[in-house]
Amino acid sequence: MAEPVTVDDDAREDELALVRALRGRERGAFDRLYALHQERIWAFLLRLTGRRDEASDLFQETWLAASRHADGLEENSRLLPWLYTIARNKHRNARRFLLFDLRKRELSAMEPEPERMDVEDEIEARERAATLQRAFYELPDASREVLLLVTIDGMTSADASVVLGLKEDAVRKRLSRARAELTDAMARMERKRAPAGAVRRT
Amino acid sequence: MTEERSERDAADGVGPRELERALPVEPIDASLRMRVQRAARASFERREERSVFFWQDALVPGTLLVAGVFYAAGALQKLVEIFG
Repeated sequence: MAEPVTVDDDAREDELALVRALRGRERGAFDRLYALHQERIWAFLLRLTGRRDEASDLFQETWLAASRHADGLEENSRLLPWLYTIARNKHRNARRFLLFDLRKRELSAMEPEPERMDVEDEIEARERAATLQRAFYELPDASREVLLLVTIDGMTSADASVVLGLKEDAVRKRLSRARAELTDAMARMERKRAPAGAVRRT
Repeated sequence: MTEERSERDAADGVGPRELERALPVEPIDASLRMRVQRAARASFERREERSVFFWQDALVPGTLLVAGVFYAAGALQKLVEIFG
């Protein structure tokens, strides 16, 4: 899991100083913001879309929007949730008028790297990772978002509620539902993969 | 194994680390990273300049607007003289 999105007091002080610099549009402030968070935003968008070309466009739109609206930050804003919110909104806007999306996900071409293990176990692990990846992309956008933010990025429910525009309680419910959906999708695919009457134990 | 059991087994194994490993992230392309940074920085700094020199930006359109209003008023007066 990525390093959790938590901040100690010193880090929070640094963040608030950067917020002030961004609000004042100080020279160099934007470069600091970009250096700190570009990789996380890229990872979020690439995982959310599953496509490099789409993620690249959204990445650019996200940072351009951030550069335009930086002076509208609140004094006590949290920067990463703010950036995730912009990225998520860009993704939702891009998909708003897309009824059917038949473009191929590219993440499947990126082989997960299992830990060192026996050949048989490694094959099993690769198959399971591929199944998990396909199951993930069968989920609705809302479920993928909450899984990426909370499960992979380690965001707190409070921060995720800011990004998703929900109450904390609703975030927890959505996360629970997303996990159940992922489980169902996994099980469905496992059944297809396994020979009739012999569902493989995992 | 029943379907219910297989589903429960599948659920047990999907932890954060496994999900993360199933969704590997290629590093961001260096040219994209630099291109986006340049464009966003330029946008950020342009707005900084605009806030300082706003009156200069407004000078030309403002002058044109005032001239247009006077021109329209003159034209209207002529029309009133002819038809009024």
